[in-house]
Amino acid sequence: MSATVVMPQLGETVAEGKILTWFKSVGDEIREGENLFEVETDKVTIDVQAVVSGRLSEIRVGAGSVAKVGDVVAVVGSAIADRVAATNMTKLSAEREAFEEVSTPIDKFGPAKGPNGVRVTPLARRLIAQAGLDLNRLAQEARQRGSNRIAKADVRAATRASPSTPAPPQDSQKSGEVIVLNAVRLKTGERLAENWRNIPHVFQAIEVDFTAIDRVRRKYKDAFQQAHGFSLTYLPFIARAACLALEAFPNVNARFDGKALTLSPETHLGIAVDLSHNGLVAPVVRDAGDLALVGLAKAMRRQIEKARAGKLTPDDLAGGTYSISNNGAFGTSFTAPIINAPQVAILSADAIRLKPAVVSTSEGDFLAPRMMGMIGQSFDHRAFDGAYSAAFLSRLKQILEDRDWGDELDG
Amino acid sequence: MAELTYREAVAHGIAQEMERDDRVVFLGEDVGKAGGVFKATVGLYEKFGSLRVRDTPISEQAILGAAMGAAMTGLRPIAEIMFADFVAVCFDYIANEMSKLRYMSNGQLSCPLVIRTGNGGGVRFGAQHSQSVENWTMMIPGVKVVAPSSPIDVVGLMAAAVRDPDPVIFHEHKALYATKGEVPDGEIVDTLGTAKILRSGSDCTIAALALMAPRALEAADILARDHSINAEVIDVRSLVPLDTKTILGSVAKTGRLFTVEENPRLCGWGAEIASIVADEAFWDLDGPIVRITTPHIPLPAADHLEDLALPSAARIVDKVRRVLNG
Repeated sequence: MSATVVMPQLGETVAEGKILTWFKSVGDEIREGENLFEVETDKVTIDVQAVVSGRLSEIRVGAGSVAKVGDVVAVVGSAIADRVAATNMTKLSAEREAFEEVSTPIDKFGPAKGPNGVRVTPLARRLIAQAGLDLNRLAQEARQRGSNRIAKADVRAATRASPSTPAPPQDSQKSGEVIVLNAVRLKTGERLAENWRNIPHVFQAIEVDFTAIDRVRRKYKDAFQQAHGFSLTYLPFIARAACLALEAFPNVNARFDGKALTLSPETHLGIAVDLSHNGLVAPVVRDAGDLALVGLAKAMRRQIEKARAGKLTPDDLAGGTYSISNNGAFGTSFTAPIINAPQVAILSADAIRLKPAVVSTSEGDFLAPRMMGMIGQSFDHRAFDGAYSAAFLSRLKQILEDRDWGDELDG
Repeated sequence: MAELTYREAVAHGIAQEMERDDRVVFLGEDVGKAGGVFKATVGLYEKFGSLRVRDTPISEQAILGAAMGAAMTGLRPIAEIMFADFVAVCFDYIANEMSKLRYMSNGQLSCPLVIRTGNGGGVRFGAQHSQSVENWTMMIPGVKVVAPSSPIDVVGLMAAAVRDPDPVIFHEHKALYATKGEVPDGEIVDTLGTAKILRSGSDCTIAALALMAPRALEAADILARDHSINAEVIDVRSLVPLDTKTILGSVAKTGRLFTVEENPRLCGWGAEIASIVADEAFWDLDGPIVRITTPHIPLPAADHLEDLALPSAARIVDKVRRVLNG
C-alpha cells in the first residue's frame, strides 16, 4: 500500500508551514523515522520524520512552497502500490478511490475576468492569489499595453517589479545598513503585530519583596547546583507561585476566542525565550501546575535549553495556557509584554535587586535594603477586568513573599 | 549497438521473446514464409520453424479466436492483424471476449496475448487501410494499448507486452517501418504505462505518439530555432495504462498543452488527455488546451490530400506559434 505524507500539526495556532528542504528525492527509499523534510513555521524550523517506510513516489509540495496543516505534501508507496497505480489509467496518486470523480473547485483563486473585462488564465489566477498581487492593477496594466489577457508571464513580471521585501526608505537614511529579518524573526513579528492589533491589552505591575526567596536560594544554591547541574534562579519560584495563584484565579488560565472564555483545567506554562536577539519562542512546560519547585525548575531548564539549541518540536510549542516572559538579565524595572493569543494573559518578571524598602515590624517601620522586583501582567481586557487581574497579582505577591520555600527544597 | 529499422525492430523484439520463452508463438496472415506483407517479421519462420510461426487463413476472427484459445491454455501468442483497420472485423474478440475473460471467470482464466497491427496513414493506402485506430482500442476496459515511435521502443515495449498477463494491443505505425534508430545489444525490456520526454522545454507541452512523435519533435526544433518557443515533447507511447503523472508534471511546468494525434478529431485520444488535464491541472493551465488532429473525415488516398489531412510538422509549428504568440 502507499501512504500520504501530510504537513503535521505544527502547534495549535499554526495553520501552515513552509517546506525549506526535502532530504529525499522522488524514487528514494525511505525508512520510518528518517528525516524527510525541513519545515519552517512562524515559530521554529523543524525536521519532519517519515512515519512509514517505502519509496518516495511523489513530492507534491516542493521546497520553498507553503502547505496548510493536513495537506498532502508527498506520497510514499511500496513497489506493489506503484505497480497498481501504473495500471490505473487516470490515477494520479495512490490515495484516490476507484470511483472518485475529480472536480476542480472553480472559484478557488479569484475571478476569471478582471475588472475591465480582461481575461485571467487559471494559472495566472492561482499565481496572483498566491503572490497576493492586486488584480485591478494588473488589469489596468494589461489594458495599457493593449492586451485583454493576463497570463503567467504578466504575473511573473509583476512579481519581479514588486519584490516581497520592501525597499528601505530612500529619503531618510540613504547610507544606513539594511537588516533583512530572518524567517523566525519575520514570523514572530507578524504574530505579535496581529495580537497587538486584536487584543485590548492592559498592563499592571506589583512590587514584590524577594528577600525571603533570596535567602532560600543562597542556602540551597550549592546543593542544588550539585544535584541538578544548573543554578537555581528566581524564575522557577515565580513560575511556581504563578501556578499556585492561577488555581485561585482560573479565568487567567484560559483561552479566549472572541466570544467565550474557556477555562483550562491544567496549567501549561509557556516560557518566552530570546534566541540571542534573533527571534522569540515560547516552549511550553506541560502540566506545570502539577510540578513542585524543583521539578518545575528542571522542566523549564529542559525547554529553554532545547529552544536555544533549535531543537523544539511542534509539540513543545503547542497548548500553552499561560505565559511568562523574563527580562531581568539587563536590569529593567518592568516590561509590558504582548499576549500570546488565544491565551488571555502573560506575566513579566524583571530585575530583582537590592533597594531601600520600608519594612513594617511590631517595633515600628524601618527602612531596610531588600531584594525587590516588579512582577507585571498584560491581560486581555475582554476576558476579565483590572480588579480580577490585580487580585491575581496580589495573590501572587503573597505567595512569593510568604510561602515556606525551604519546605519544597528540603524534599 | 546496432542501427535497426523500425520493421527490423519488430522481428528483433519478437525473436527476443521467442528465444526466452518457448510458450511464445506467432501467427497471422503471410507472417511466416513471406515474412509479413510489411516485411516486419522476416527470418522468424526460418529461425523458429512452422510450429511456432504459423501462417493462417485470411480470417481475422480465426486469428484472434485461435490466439485467445492458445493464451487460455498456456501459450503466449503474438497475433498479427495486418492492417489496424481490420480490428473492426474481429472486434467482438477484442471488445467482448479477451478483454472480459479474467473478470468474468473471477481470475480463473487469463488471456496473455499480444495483438500487433499495422496502424496509421501517410502511405497512400486509402480510407480502409490507413486509419489510426488506437482510440478504438483504448476505450475498451480490459485491454492495454501501446503505440511505439522508435525501433528501441518497439523492442522494449514488445517484450513488456508479451510478458504482461493480459491482452495488449500493439500498434505499429506503417509510415515508421522504414525509419531507423539505435538499438543496444542484449535483452531490452520496457515498461507499459510509461511516457517518454523526448525533448525538455519550458514554454509548452506537446503530447504525441507513434508517427506524430517524430513530427512533434521536428516541429519543436523549428519552434525553438525560428520562434524562440521552447516546447517540451512527450511521446505518450502507452494509452492504457496512461502515464498521467508525466503529462501532468509537464503541464505543471509549462502551463500549456498541445496534443498531436492522427486519430480523427471526434473522440481521439487527445480528447481524453485534455479532459484529464482540465480536471487535474486546471490551476496549472495558462491557456486553453489545444488539440491538433486529423479532421473527422475518411482518409483520402491522393498524396496531397492525405498529407493535408494528417498533422504535419509545419501545421504543428503554425498552430503552436499562433496560439502562444497570439
